[in-house]
Amino acid sequence: MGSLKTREKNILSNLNSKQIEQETLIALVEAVSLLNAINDKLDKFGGLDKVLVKLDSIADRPIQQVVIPSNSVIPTQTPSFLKTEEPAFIPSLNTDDMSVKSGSDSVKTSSKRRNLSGAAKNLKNITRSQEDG
Amino acid sequence: MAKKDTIDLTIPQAPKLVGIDCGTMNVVAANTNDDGDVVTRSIRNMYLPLDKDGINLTDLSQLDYVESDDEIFIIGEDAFRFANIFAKEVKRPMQKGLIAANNVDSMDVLALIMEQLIGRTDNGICVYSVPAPSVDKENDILFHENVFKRIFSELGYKAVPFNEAMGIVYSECTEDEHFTALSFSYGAGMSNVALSYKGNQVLAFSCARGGDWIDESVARQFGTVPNRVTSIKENNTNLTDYKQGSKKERLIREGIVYYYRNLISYTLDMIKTKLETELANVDLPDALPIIVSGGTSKATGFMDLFRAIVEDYDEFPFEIKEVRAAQDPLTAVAEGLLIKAISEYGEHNE
Repeated sequence: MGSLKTREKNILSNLNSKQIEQETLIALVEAVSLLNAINDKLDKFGGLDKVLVKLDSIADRPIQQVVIPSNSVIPTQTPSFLKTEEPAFIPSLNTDDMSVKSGSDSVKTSSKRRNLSGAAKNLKNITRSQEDG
Repeated sequence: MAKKDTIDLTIPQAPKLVGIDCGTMNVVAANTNDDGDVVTRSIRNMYLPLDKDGINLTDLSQLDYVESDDEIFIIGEDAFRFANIFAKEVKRPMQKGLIAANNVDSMDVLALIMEQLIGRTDNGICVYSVPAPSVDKENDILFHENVFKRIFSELGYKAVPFNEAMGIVYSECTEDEHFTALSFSYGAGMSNVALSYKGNQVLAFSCARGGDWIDESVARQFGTVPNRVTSIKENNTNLTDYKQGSKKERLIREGIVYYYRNLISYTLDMIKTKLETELANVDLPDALPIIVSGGTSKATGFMDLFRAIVEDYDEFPFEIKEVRAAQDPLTAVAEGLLIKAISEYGEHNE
């Protein structure tokens, strides 16, 4: 089937031979170029499958520390699709060897009869009716 | 023979739902028990660090505390009492309504306070309060929100942040009000305001004035410490009649009333300006209820003062249907957030 770069050359060659608007051609070339860059990056991490497995394994737990290998190329700008609203740094918690010794009850507890389910149902209904309407 | 209760493990178990008001002075959690009653649990959000070397742990057997390698941290109400007895200053994991990131122990102690309050689970969802962006101070709500998210995640909960003042609307609106109201949450660290229309947040903001600001401002005027003002404020101060106690106390009470008055006017001015500018072209309902909550609003005479100041406004952008206090100003936010949690993730969410 050939490498992506070989296929890219073939496709671009075929496209060139056809009557196609210059703008469309430029956009396609840019898209192929971007695909190449992504492909190169995936190769560095062992391919798409390995990257997905790795991402899946860390997706449900907080990342304590990010280690960047000294020989890796750090992008100067984070791609927009990777940008999140996360703050740059949150100190990790260090409570493993700590626990609360409870001698008194600092926690004040009270209970009362109140139909919260009814209020929640009303809230759900009013939200749903607005979504529908 | 009585039928044994069995749990069918093939049926997904309902998650534990909790609403949490993460306040500067108090943290309050609300959930429901098996009888359908609302259970609220609260703890003072503060701790007192003590040097481990000078402490005999058996002396602490009647207290709630956390032990680390070098230090002991007395937590909650006990920290407040001990600090007053030994003239020490308590530490607070939050200041001005947000996580105080300048103290390395704060977040660890806060996490343990939260564990004490809501426990660990493997299937929980908690909707927790966050303030709206401030109109008068640059504040990092993003950091605050994410630290709490991490704490709750580590305790086994899916953590969902939600606006504090909207919680009051969800908790306090009657059925015929359809979650449409203007709410004020006067806390220790800041004040939050939200306008809700049919359960949707139309406008929300916070300002960096609250109970602590009153204490600090009055203390500065009279050359005393804020704790002293807090003590006078919480003991027999009536905001509609400050002429009680010794001459010095009367003066301090007079100062407290001035700053309370300013706090209320400040938040009302803010919402009036915002409604007239940002929502000038929005059709507001003809009449809206105003609901007031938060620990700072618990002072004797607060609601009378609030109503008197509202009446001083010649014109408000909408007709005020009613001004009322939340049924329980300390638990309203947590209960409202629990309503939000049940509506989104509870039994009605089929």
